[in-house]
Amino acid sequence: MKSRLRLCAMALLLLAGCNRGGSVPVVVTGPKSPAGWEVRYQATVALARRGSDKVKDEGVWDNLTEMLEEEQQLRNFRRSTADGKEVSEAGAAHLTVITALQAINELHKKRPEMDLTGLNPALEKLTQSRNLAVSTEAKRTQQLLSK
Amino acid sequence: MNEEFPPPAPTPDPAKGLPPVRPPSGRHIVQLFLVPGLIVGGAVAILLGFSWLAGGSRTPDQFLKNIDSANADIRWRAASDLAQVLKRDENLASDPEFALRLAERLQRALDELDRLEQDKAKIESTSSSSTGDVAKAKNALAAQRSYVQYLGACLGNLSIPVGVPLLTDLARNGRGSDPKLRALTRRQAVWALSNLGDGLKRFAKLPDARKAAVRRQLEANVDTASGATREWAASALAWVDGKGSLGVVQALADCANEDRDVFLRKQVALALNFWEGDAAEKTLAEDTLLRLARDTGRGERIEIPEGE
Repeated sequence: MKSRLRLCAMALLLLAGCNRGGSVPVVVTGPKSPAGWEVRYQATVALARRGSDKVKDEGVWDNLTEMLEEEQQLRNFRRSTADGKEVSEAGAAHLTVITALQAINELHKKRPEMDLTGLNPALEKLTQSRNLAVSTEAKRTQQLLSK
Repeated sequence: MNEEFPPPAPTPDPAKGLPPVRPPSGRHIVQLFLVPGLIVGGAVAILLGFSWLAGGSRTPDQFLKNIDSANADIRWRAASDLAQVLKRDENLASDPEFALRLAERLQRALDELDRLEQDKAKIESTSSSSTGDVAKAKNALAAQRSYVQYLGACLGNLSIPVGVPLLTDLARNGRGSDPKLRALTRRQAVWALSNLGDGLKRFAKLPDARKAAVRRQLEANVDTASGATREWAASALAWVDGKGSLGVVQALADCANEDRDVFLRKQVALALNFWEGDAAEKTLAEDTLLRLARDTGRGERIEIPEGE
Protein backbone atom coordinates (compact mmCIF):
# COMPACT_ATOMS: atom_id res chain seq x y z
CA MET A 1 0.00 0.00 0.00
CA LYS A 2 2.81 2.36 0.95
CA SER A 3 4.56 1.70 -2.35
CA ARG A 4 1.34 2.42 -4.28
CA LEU A 5 0.89 5.70 -2.45
CA ARG A 6 4.49 6.58 -3.19
CA LEU A 7 3.92 5.79 -6.89
CA CYS A 8 0.78 7.98 -7.01
CA ALA A 9 2.60 10.82 -5.29
CA MET A 10 5.45 10.61 -7.82
CA ALA A 11 3.01 10.61 -10.75
CA LEU A 12 1.26 13.68 -9.37
CA LEU A 13 4.59 15.44 -8.84
CA LEU A 14 5.60 14.63 -12.41
CA LEU A 15 2.34 15.98 -13.77
CA ALA A 16 2.67 19.11 -11.66
CA GLY A 17 6.30 19.43 -12.74
CA CYS A 18 5.29 19.52 -16.42
CA ASN A 19 3.51 22.73 -15.72
CA ARG A 20 5.97 24.36 -13.36
CA GLY A 21 5.69 28.09 -13.85
CA GLY A 22 3.31 27.63 -16.76
CA SER A 23 -0.04 28.00 -15.04
CA VAL A 24 0.40 31.59 -13.87
CA PRO A 25 1.04 34.05 -16.71
CA VAL A 26 4.28 35.96 -16.22
CA VAL A 27 4.14 39.74 -16.62
CA VAL A 28 6.53 40.61 -19.43
CA THR A 29 9.29 43.17 -19.06
CA GLY A 30 11.80 43.98 -21.75
CA PRO A 31 11.62 44.33 -25.52
CA LYS A 32 10.58 41.82 -28.13
CA SER A 33 13.09 40.75 -30.76
CA PRO A 34 13.34 43.16 -33.74
CA ALA A 35 10.44 43.00 -36.23
CA GLY A 36 10.31 39.96 -38.48
CA TRP A 37 11.46 37.48 -35.87
CA GLU A 38 8.62 35.05 -36.72
CA VAL A 39 9.85 34.84 -40.33
CA ARG A 40 13.51 34.65 -39.28
CA TYR A 41 12.86 31.86 -36.79
CA GLN A 42 10.85 29.78 -39.24
CA ALA A 43 13.53 30.15 -41.92
CA THR A 44 16.29 29.29 -39.46
CA VAL A 45 14.50 26.12 -38.40
CA ALA A 46 14.00 25.14 -42.05
CA LEU A 47 17.70 25.65 -42.82
CA ALA A 48 18.67 23.55 -39.80
CA ARG A 49 16.26 20.78 -40.73
CA ARG A 50 17.65 20.70 -44.24
CA GLY A 51 21.15 20.33 -42.81
CA SER A 52 22.28 23.45 -44.64
CA ASP A 53 25.76 24.99 -44.31
CA LYS A 54 24.01 28.33 -44.16
CA VAL A 55 23.07 27.69 -40.53
CA LYS A 56 26.54 28.99 -39.68
CA ASP A 57 26.02 32.18 -41.72
CA GLU A 58 25.87 35.53 -40.05
CA GLY A 59 22.40 36.19 -38.77
CA VAL A 60 21.17 32.61 -38.99
CA TRP A 61 23.38 31.39 -36.14
CA ASP A 62 22.30 34.40 -34.08
CA ASN A 63 18.67 33.47 -34.72
CA LEU A 64 19.31 29.92 -33.57
CA THR A 65 20.96 30.99 -30.31
CA GLU A 66 18.20 33.57 -29.75
CA MET A 67 15.57 30.87 -30.14
CA LEU A 68 17.28 28.98 -27.33
CA GLU A 69 16.88 31.96 -24.95
CA GLU A 70 13.82 31.08 -22.93
CA GLU A 71 13.46 34.56 -21.41
CA GLN A 72 13.56 36.20 -24.84
CA GLN A 73 10.86 33.84 -26.12
CA LEU A 74 8.69 34.69 -23.13
CA ARG A 75 9.11 38.34 -24.14
CA ASN A 76 8.34 37.64 -27.83
CA PHE A 77 5.14 35.72 -27.21
CA ARG A 78 2.94 38.03 -25.23
CA ARG A 79 -0.63 39.21 -25.02
CA SER A 80 -2.43 42.05 -23.32
CA THR A 81 -4.76 41.30 -20.43
CA ALA A 82 -8.00 43.10 -19.63
CA ASP A 83 -6.21 45.28 -17.07
CA GLY A 84 -3.68 46.46 -19.67
CA LYS A 85 -0.77 44.32 -18.51
CA GLU A 86 1.34 42.39 -20.97
CA VAL A 87 1.77 38.75 -20.02
CA SER A 88 3.75 36.03 -21.70
CA GLU A 89 2.21 33.12 -23.59
CA ALA A 90 4.40 30.45 -22.03
CA GLY A 91 3.11 27.59 -24.19
CA ALA A 92 4.04 29.25 -27.48
CA ALA A 93 7.36 30.47 -26.07
CA HIS A 94 8.38 27.02 -24.89
CA LEU A 95 7.22 25.44 -28.14
CA THR A 96 9.59 27.76 -30.01
CA VAL A 97 12.50 26.68 -27.81
CA ILE A 98 11.62 23.00 -28.26
CA THR A 99 11.26 23.45 -32.03
CA ALA A 100 14.74 24.96 -32.14
CA LEU A 101 16.13 22.07 -30.09
CA GLN A 102 14.53 19.51 -32.40
CA ALA A 103 15.86 21.35 -35.45
CA ILE A 104 19.36 21.21 -33.90
CA ASN A 105 18.95 17.46 -33.42
CA GLU A 106 18.01 17.04 -37.08
CA LEU A 107 20.89 19.26 -38.17
CA HIS A 108 23.31 17.14 -36.17
CA LYS A 109 21.89 13.92 -37.64
CA LYS A 110 22.29 15.24 -41.18
CA ARG A 111 25.61 16.99 -40.60
CA PRO A 112 27.40 15.24 -37.72
CA GLU A 113 30.68 16.91 -38.70
CA MET A 114 29.31 20.43 -38.19
CA ASP A 115 30.71 22.11 -35.10
CA LEU A 116 27.78 23.04 -32.88
CA THR A 117 29.74 23.49 -29.64
CA GLY A 118 28.87 27.19 -29.70
CA LEU A 119 25.36 26.16 -28.60
CA ASN A 120 26.58 24.43 -25.45
CA PRO A 121 26.16 27.36 -23.00
CA ALA A 122 22.58 27.93 -24.17
CA LEU A 123 21.81 24.20 -23.96
CA GLU A 124 23.30 23.97 -20.48
CA LYS A 125 21.10 26.83 -19.34
CA LEU A 126 18.00 25.19 -20.83
CA THR A 127 18.63 21.96 -18.94
CA GLN A 128 17.90 24.02 -15.81
CA SER A 129 14.60 25.32 -17.22
CA ARG A 130 11.61 25.31 -14.90
CA ASN A 131 9.61 23.83 -17.78
CA LEU A 132 10.04 20.07 -17.74
CA ALA A 133 9.47 19.58 -21.47
CA VAL A 134 12.14 22.18 -22.31
CA SER A 135 14.69 20.82 -19.86
CA THR A 136 14.11 17.23 -21.02
CA GLU A 137 14.50 18.16 -24.68
CA ALA A 138 17.62 20.19 -23.88
CA LYS A 139 19.17 17.21 -22.09
CA ARG A 140 18.32 14.97 -25.02
CA THR A 141 19.97 17.43 -27.41
CA GLN A 142 23.06 17.62 -25.20
CA GLN A 143 23.30 13.84 -25.25
CA LEU A 144 22.89 13.67 -29.02
CA LEU A 145 25.53 16.33 -29.64
CA SER A 146 28.01 14.66 -27.32
CA LYS A 147 27.89 11.40 -29.33
CA MET B 1 6.28 -5.53 -0.39
CA ASN B 2 6.35 -8.60 1.82
CA GLU B 3 3.96 -6.87 4.18
CA GLU B 4 1.42 -6.42 1.39
CA PHE B 5 1.73 -9.85 -0.18
CA PRO B 6 2.58 -12.42 2.52
CA PRO B 7 3.49 -15.93 1.31
CA PRO B 8 0.45 -18.14 0.85
CA ALA B 9 -0.37 -20.01 3.99
CA PRO B 10 -1.72 -23.56 3.96
CA THR B 11 -5.43 -23.47 3.15
CA PRO B 12 -7.29 -23.40 6.43
CA ASP B 13 -10.62 -25.11 6.92
CA PRO B 14 -13.49 -22.89 5.73
CA ALA B 15 -14.80 -20.73 8.52
CA LYS B 16 -18.10 -21.70 9.89
CA GLY B 17 -21.05 -20.11 7.99
CA LEU B 18 -19.14 -19.76 4.68
CA PRO B 19 -20.02 -22.02 1.69
CA PRO B 20 -17.43 -24.58 0.72
CA VAL B 21 -15.04 -23.62 -2.14
CA ARG B 22 -15.86 -25.48 -5.35
CA PRO B 23 -14.38 -25.27 -8.88
CA PRO B 24 -16.57 -23.18 -11.29
CA SER B 25 -19.19 -25.11 -13.21
CA GLY B 26 -19.94 -24.76 -16.93
CA ARG B 27 -22.91 -22.57 -16.09
CA HIS B 28 -20.68 -20.22 -14.10
CA ILE B 29 -18.29 -19.91 -17.04
CA VAL B 30 -21.22 -19.06 -19.35
CA GLN B 31 -22.47 -16.45 -16.90
CA LEU B 32 -19.02 -14.95 -16.50
CA PHE B 33 -17.97 -14.79 -20.15
CA LEU B 34 -20.86 -15.39 -22.52
CA VAL B 35 -23.27 -12.79 -21.14
CA PRO B 36 -20.70 -9.95 -20.96
CA GLY B 37 -19.43 -11.09 -24.36
CA LEU B 38 -22.91 -10.76 -25.84
CA ILE B 39 -23.31 -7.29 -24.34
CA VAL B 40 -19.95 -6.11 -25.72
CA GLY B 41 -20.69 -7.76 -29.08
CA GLY B 42 -24.03 -5.97 -29.27
CA ALA B 43 -22.41 -2.62 -28.49
CA VAL B 44 -19.74 -3.18 -31.16
CA ALA B 45 -22.42 -4.17 -33.70
CA ILE B 46 -24.35 -0.96 -32.99
CA LEU B 47 -21.17 1.11 -33.39
CA LEU B 48 -20.28 -0.64 -36.64
CA GLY B 49 -23.83 -0.11 -37.87
CA PHE B 50 -23.59 3.61 -37.19
CA SER B 51 -20.19 3.91 -38.85
CA TRP B 52 -21.53 1.96 -41.85
CA LEU B 53 -24.49 4.33 -42.10
CA ALA B 54 -22.24 7.39 -41.72
CA GLY B 55 -19.67 5.92 -44.08
CA GLY B 56 -22.23 5.63 -46.84
CA SER B 57 -21.29 9.11 -48.01
CA ARG B 58 -17.56 8.33 -47.97
CA THR B 59 -17.26 6.92 -51.49
CA PRO B 60 -15.42 9.05 -54.06
CA ASP B 61 -18.58 9.43 -56.12
CA GLN B 62 -20.59 10.53 -53.13
CA PHE B 63 -17.94 13.06 -52.18
CA LEU B 64 -17.99 14.49 -55.69
CA LYS B 65 -21.78 14.49 -55.68
CA ASN B 66 -21.87 16.49 -52.45
CA ILE B 67 -19.16 18.81 -53.72
CA ASP B 68 -21.31 19.45 -56.79
CA SER B 69 -24.41 20.15 -54.70
CA ALA B 70 -26.44 23.21 -55.62
CA ASN B 71 -26.51 24.09 -51.93
CA ALA B 72 -23.41 26.16 -51.17
CA ASP B 73 -23.31 25.01 -47.54
CA ILE B 74 -23.39 21.31 -48.49
CA ARG B 75 -20.63 22.00 -51.04
CA TRP B 76 -18.15 23.57 -48.67
CA ARG B 77 -18.93 21.18 -45.82
CA ALA B 78 -18.34 18.20 -48.13
CA ALA B 79 -15.02 19.72 -49.19
CA SER B 80 -14.14 20.30 -45.53
CA ASP B 81 -14.92 16.65 -44.61
CA LEU B 82 -13.01 15.38 -47.60
CA ALA B 83 -9.92 17.38 -46.63
CA GLN B 84 -9.84 15.41 -43.36
CA VAL B 85 -10.59 12.02 -44.95
CA LEU B 86 -7.76 12.44 -47.47
CA LYS B 87 -5.22 12.64 -44.66
CA ARG B 88 -5.99 9.05 -43.70
CA ASP B 89 -7.34 7.30 -46.79
CA GLU B 90 -4.27 6.26 -48.82
CA ASN B 91 -6.27 4.92 -51.76
CA LEU B 92 -8.38 8.03 -52.14
CA ALA B 93 -5.37 10.32 -51.62
CA SER B 94 -3.53 8.61 -54.47
CA ASP B 95 -6.50 8.25 -56.84
CA PRO B 96 -5.55 10.20 -60.01
CA GLU B 97 -9.10 10.25 -61.43
CA PHE B 98 -10.49 11.64 -58.21
CA ALA B 99 -7.63 14.12 -57.86
CA LEU B 100 -8.14 15.42 -61.39
CA ARG B 101 -11.90 15.80 -60.83
CA LEU B 102 -11.13 17.79 -57.66
CA ALA B 103 -8.68 20.02 -59.50
CA GLU B 104 -11.29 20.71 -62.20
CA ARG B 105 -13.76 21.68 -59.50
CA LEU B 106 -11.27 24.04 -57.87
CA GLN B 107 -10.63 25.67 -61.23
CA ARG B 108 -14.38 26.21 -61.72
CA ALA B 109 -14.80 27.36 -58.12
CA LEU B 110 -12.12 30.02 -58.60
CA ASP B 111 -13.86 31.34 -61.70
CA GLU B 112 -17.13 31.41 -59.76
CA LEU B 113 -15.39 33.26 -56.90
CA ASP B 114 -14.31 35.96 -59.35
CA ARG B 115 -17.84 36.25 -60.66
CA LEU B 116 -19.39 36.49 -57.19
CA GLU B 117 -16.90 39.15 -56.17
CA GLN B 118 -17.80 41.22 -59.22
CA ASP B 119 -21.51 40.73 -58.45
CA LYS B 120 -21.00 41.91 -54.89
CA ALA B 121 -19.08 44.99 -56.02
CA LYS B 122 -21.83 45.78 -58.55
CA ILE B 123 -24.59 45.39 -55.96
CA GLU B 124 -22.73 47.54 -53.43
CA SER B 125 -22.20 50.31 -55.98
CA THR B 126 -25.84 50.33 -57.11
CA SER B 127 -27.84 52.83 -55.09
CA SER B 128 -31.09 50.91 -55.54
CA SER B 129 -29.72 47.77 -53.90
CA SER B 130 -31.34 46.87 -50.61
CA THR B 131 -29.36 45.81 -47.53
CA GLY B 132 -30.84 42.34 -48.07
CA ASP B 133 -29.31 42.15 -51.55
CA VAL B 134 -25.93 43.23 -50.21
CA ALA B 135 -26.09 40.69 -47.36
CA LYS B 136 -27.09 37.93 -49.80
CA ALA B 137 -24.18 38.76 -52.11
CA LYS B 138 -21.79 38.80 -49.13
CA ASN B 139 -23.03 35.44 -47.88
CA ALA B 140 -22.72 33.86 -51.31
CA LEU B 141 -19.16 35.17 -51.59
CA ALA B 142 -18.25 33.93 -48.09
CA ALA B 143 -19.62 30.43 -48.82
CA GLN B 144 -17.72 30.29 -52.12
CA ARG B 145 -14.55 31.44 -50.36
CA SER B 146 -14.90 28.58 -47.85
CA TYR B 147 -15.51 26.16 -50.70
CA VAL B 148 -12.35 27.32 -52.48
CA GLN B 149 -10.40 27.13 -49.23
CA TYR B 150 -11.41 23.53 -48.52
CA LEU B 151 -10.99 22.37 -52.12
CA GLY B 152 -7.47 23.81 -52.04
CA ALA B 153 -6.89 21.98 -48.75
CA CYS B 154 -8.10 18.74 -50.40
CA LEU B 155 -5.56 19.10 -53.20
CA GLY B 156 -2.91 19.73 -50.53
CA ASN B 157 -3.86 16.58 -48.66
CA LEU B 158 -3.37 14.28 -51.65
CA SER B 159 -0.32 12.08 -52.04
CA ILE B 160 0.09 12.88 -55.74
CA PRO B 161 0.92 16.39 -57.01
CA VAL B 162 -2.03 16.84 -59.37
CA GLY B 163 -2.97 20.14 -57.72
CA VAL B 164 0.47 21.75 -57.93
CA PRO B 165 -0.13 23.93 -61.04
CA LEU B 166 -3.32 25.36 -59.53
CA LEU B 167 -1.88 25.83 -56.05
CA THR B 168 1.33 27.47 -57.25
CA ASP B 169 -0.70 29.87 -59.40
CA LEU B 170 -2.89 30.69 -56.40
CA ALA B 171 0.15 31.11 -54.15
CA ARG B 172 1.74 33.55 -56.59
CA ASN B 173 -1.29 35.56 -57.61
CA GLY B 174 -4.14 34.92 -55.18
CA ARG B 175 -7.65 35.71 -56.30
CA GLY B 176 -9.94 38.68 -56.14
CA SER B 177 -9.47 42.44 -56.09
CA ASP B 178 -9.95 42.77 -52.34
CA PRO B 179 -6.43 42.83 -50.77
CA LYS B 180 -7.60 40.77 -47.79
CA LEU B 181 -9.19 38.10 -49.96
CA ARG B 182 -6.09 38.05 -52.11
CA ALA B 183 -3.80 37.67 -49.10
CA LEU B 184 -6.01 34.96 -47.64
CA THR B 185 -6.12 32.85 -50.79
CA ARG B 186 -2.34 33.14 -51.19
CA ARG B 187 -1.74 32.06 -47.60
CA GLN B 188 -4.13 29.13 -47.96
CA ALA B 189 -2.41 28.00 -51.15
CA VAL B 190 1.05 28.14 -49.52
CA TRP B 191 -0.33 26.21 -46.57
CA ALA B 192 -1.77 23.58 -48.94
CA LEU B 193 1.61 23.35 -50.66
CA SER B 194 3.26 22.72 -47.27
CA ASN B 195 0.88 19.86 -46.63
CA LEU B 196 1.35 18.50 -50.12
CA GLY B 197 5.14 18.53 -49.74
CA ASP B 198 4.75 16.44 -46.62
CA GLY B 199 1.98 14.30 -48.16
CA LEU B 200 4.02 13.31 -51.21
CA LYS B 201 6.18 11.20 -48.88
CA ARG B 202 3.10 8.98 -48.45
CA PHE B 203 3.30 8.08 -52.13
CA ALA B 204 6.77 6.59 -51.66
CA LYS B 205 5.37 4.27 -48.99
CA LEU B 206 2.61 2.86 -51.23
CA PRO B 207 2.95 -0.73 -52.49
CA ASP B 208 4.56 -1.02 -55.93
CA ALA B 209 1.33 -2.38 -57.43
CA ARG B 210 -0.53 0.74 -56.28
CA LYS B 211 2.19 3.03 -57.62
CA ALA B 212 1.99 1.26 -60.99
CA ALA B 213 -1.81 1.64 -61.04
CA VAL B 214 -1.50 5.37 -60.28
CA ARG B 215 1.03 5.73 -63.08
CA ARG B 216 -1.24 3.92 -65.55
CA GLN B 217 -4.19 6.12 -64.68
CA LEU B 218 -2.15 9.29 -65.07
CA GLU B 219 -0.81 8.07 -68.40
CA ALA B 220 -4.35 7.30 -69.57
CA ASN B 221 -5.41 10.83 -68.68
CA VAL B 222 -2.45 12.31 -70.53
CA ASP B 223 -3.60 10.34 -73.59
CA THR B 224 -7.30 11.04 -73.36
CA ALA B 225 -7.85 14.30 -71.45
CA SER B 226 -7.48 17.77 -72.89
CA GLY B 227 -6.68 21.28 -71.77
CA ALA B 228 -5.69 21.96 -68.19
CA THR B 229 -6.63 18.44 -67.03
CA ARG B 230 -4.12 16.94 -69.42
CA GLU B 231 -1.42 19.36 -68.24
CA TRP B 232 -2.07 18.51 -64.58
CA ALA B 233 -1.90 14.77 -65.33
CA ALA B 234 1.28 15.22 -67.38
CA SER B 235 2.96 17.20 -64.61
CA ALA B 236 2.05 14.57 -61.99
CA LEU B 237 3.17 11.77 -64.31
CA ALA B 238 6.56 13.44 -64.79
CA TRP B 239 6.91 13.63 -61.01
CA VAL B 240 5.99 9.94 -60.60
CA ASP B 241 8.65 9.09 -63.20
CA GLY B 242 11.21 11.30 -61.44
CA LYS B 243 11.45 13.61 -64.46
CA GLY B 244 11.11 17.33 -64.42
CA SER B 245 10.47 19.80 -61.65
CA LEU B 246 7.06 20.60 -60.23
CA GLY B 247 8.13 24.23 -59.86
CA VAL B 248 7.00 24.53 -56.28
CA VAL B 249 10.34 25.79 -54.93
CA GLN B 250 10.39 28.53 -57.59
CA ALA B 251 6.81 29.51 -56.71
CA LEU B 252 7.68 29.65 -53.00
CA ALA B 253 10.79 31.70 -53.78
CA ASP B 254 8.58 34.14 -55.70
CA CYS B 255 6.19 34.34 -52.75
CA ALA B 256 9.13 35.07 -50.43
CA ASN B 257 9.61 38.32 -52.38
CA GLU B 258 6.17 39.45 -51.23
CA ASP B 259 6.87 42.72 -49.44
CA ARG B 260 3.43 43.40 -48.07
CA ASP B 261 2.50 40.26 -46.16
CA VAL B 262 4.83 39.18 -43.33
CA PHE B 263 2.65 36.18 -42.58
CA LEU B 264 2.94 34.88 -46.13
CA ARG B 265 6.75 35.01 -45.89
CA LYS B 266 6.58 33.08 -42.62
CA GLN B 267 4.45 30.41 -44.28
CA VAL B 268 6.86 30.21 -47.19
CA ALA B 269 9.68 29.50 -44.74
CA LEU B 270 7.56 26.75 -43.22
CA ALA B 271 6.67 25.26 -46.62
CA LEU B 272 10.34 25.09 -47.60
CA ASN B 273 10.79 22.50 -44.85
CA PHE B 274 8.91 20.06 -47.07
CA TRP B 275 10.21 20.71 -50.58
CA GLU B 276 13.65 19.59 -51.65
CA GLY B 277 13.74 19.44 -55.47
CA ASP B 278 16.78 18.94 -57.70
CA ALA B 279 20.22 20.45 -57.09
CA ALA B 280 19.29 23.84 -58.57
CA GLU B 281 16.09 23.93 -56.53
CA LYS B 282 17.97 23.04 -53.36
CA THR B 283 20.24 26.02 -53.91
CA LEU B 284 17.26 28.24 -54.65
CA ALA B 285 15.44 27.01 -51.52
CA GLU B 286 18.44 27.63 -49.28
CA ASP B 287 19.11 31.07 -50.78
CA THR B 288 15.45 31.93 -50.23
CA LEU B 289 15.59 30.69 -46.64
CA LEU B 290 18.78 32.66 -46.01
CA ARG B 291 17.01 35.80 -47.22
CA LEU B 292 14.04 35.02 -44.98
CA ALA B 293 16.36 34.31 -42.04
CA ARG B 294 17.44 37.97 -42.33
CA ASP B 295 13.90 39.29 -42.70
CA THR B 296 13.29 42.69 -41.15
CA GLY B 297 9.53 42.38 -40.90
CA ARG B 298 9.03 44.85 -43.76
CA GLY B 299 5.58 45.60 -45.11
CA GLU B 300 2.27 45.91 -43.42
CA ARG B 301 0.58 43.23 -41.41
CA ILE B 302 -2.54 42.17 -43.23
CA GLU B 303 -4.74 41.11 -40.36
CA ILE B 304 -7.72 38.98 -41.33
CA PRO B 305 -10.22 38.76 -38.46
CA GLU B 306 -11.67 35.39 -37.52
CA GLY B 307 -14.68 34.57 -39.63
CA GLU B 308 -13.63 36.64 -42.64
